Amino acid sequence: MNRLCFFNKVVKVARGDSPPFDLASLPPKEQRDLIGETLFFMVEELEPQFAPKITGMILELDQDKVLHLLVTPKAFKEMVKEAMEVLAHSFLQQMKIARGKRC
Amino acid sequence: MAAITEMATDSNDVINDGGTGDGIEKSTDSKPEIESDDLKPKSKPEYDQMKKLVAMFKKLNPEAKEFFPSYKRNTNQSDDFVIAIKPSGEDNKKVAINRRRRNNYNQGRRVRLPGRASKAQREDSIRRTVYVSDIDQSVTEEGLAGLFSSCGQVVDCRICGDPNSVLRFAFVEFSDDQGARSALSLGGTMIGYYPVRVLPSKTAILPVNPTFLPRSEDEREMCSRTIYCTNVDKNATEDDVNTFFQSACGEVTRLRLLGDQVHSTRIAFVEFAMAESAVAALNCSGIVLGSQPIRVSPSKTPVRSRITRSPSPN
Repeated sequence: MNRLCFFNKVVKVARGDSPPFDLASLPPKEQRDLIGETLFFMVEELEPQFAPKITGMILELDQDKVLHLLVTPKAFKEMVKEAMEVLAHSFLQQMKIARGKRC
Repeated sequence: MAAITEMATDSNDVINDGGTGDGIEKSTDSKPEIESDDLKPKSKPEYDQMKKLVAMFKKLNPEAKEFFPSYKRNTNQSDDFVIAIKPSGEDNKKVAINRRRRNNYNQGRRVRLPGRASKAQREDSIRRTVYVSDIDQSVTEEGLAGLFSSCGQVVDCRICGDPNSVLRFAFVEFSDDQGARSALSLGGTMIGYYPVRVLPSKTAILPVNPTFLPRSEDEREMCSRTIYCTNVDKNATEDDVNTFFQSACGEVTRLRLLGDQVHSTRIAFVEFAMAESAVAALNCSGIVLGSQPIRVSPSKTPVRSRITRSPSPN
């Protein structure tokens, strides 16, 4: 199954055009991998350097919300932006902790 | 934006704080767009929409495991590049740990280098040195060095008077370890009138400052008539030392008393008119001069005349 074909299937499932059977029939890990690859492809367009991290963060959300993001470009961009902010904030926290430990 | 970040980081505080207001505003802004994007627009209560958005943000986990697509996992170069720029906590901790460890390693090495170098040199010198005891008075350093030269090249030889015995002890240093090991087999050999004992040394012979070594045959002959005396009472004068050695061993031609009132003891170099007197002087080890028992050894350096003083006629 190539990426474009899967993407179309995901869009159809999210919009209700196609029964969920197509995606649900796959094993959970395979589902996650396929969604992850599609998501990674889209995240890489916005944040190529941190695509693996952001993709991992988004994949931890509920699957139906992730599917919703795939078909809603506006919400998807907001989510990626939010993930970057969470990541930057976490990084700053780590820097403070490291500095504290060093002293 | 800061409020949104806080909301994502600490969910409990965010719900209670004004961040909720920002959340509401955000949901209001995004709702029409979502509807316009859907082919089948659905009307939902504003409360439900806000709740979903908050839940969505709350679950963003900065510690989430990275997801690599199958085509990325096979590319090592890409992985290295990604790892190099990842700001995740784990990598940051690793970097900090590595940095700390490296610093410790450098510091350790820096601190140990001079100590290790001198310690290694000293240990090597000790390995190449043997301790010889039960040496009778007739033996000279030249004789002892000559005997031990059959085991290897002798670098240095020192005979010391033993304060507790009429017999003496010596240290002999070879140019290599093999010479020292061969010398151990000479234990029990008759030197002079008494068999000697040979053991591995536990200390090294300190080298003499080359500028003080004899420069000519005459100075070498002078050394054979000179002794080196330590642990001299600080209140003793040159006359005291001169009188002592002259009465005990023989005529003294030159004498140099080193040290000052600051140090607890002084050092004397005594040159005799005859070599036999210098050999006899070794027996004076342990004799109290003033308030201290002195230690006498053959001197490695001649007593040179001071520029301000003319040489005394022999």
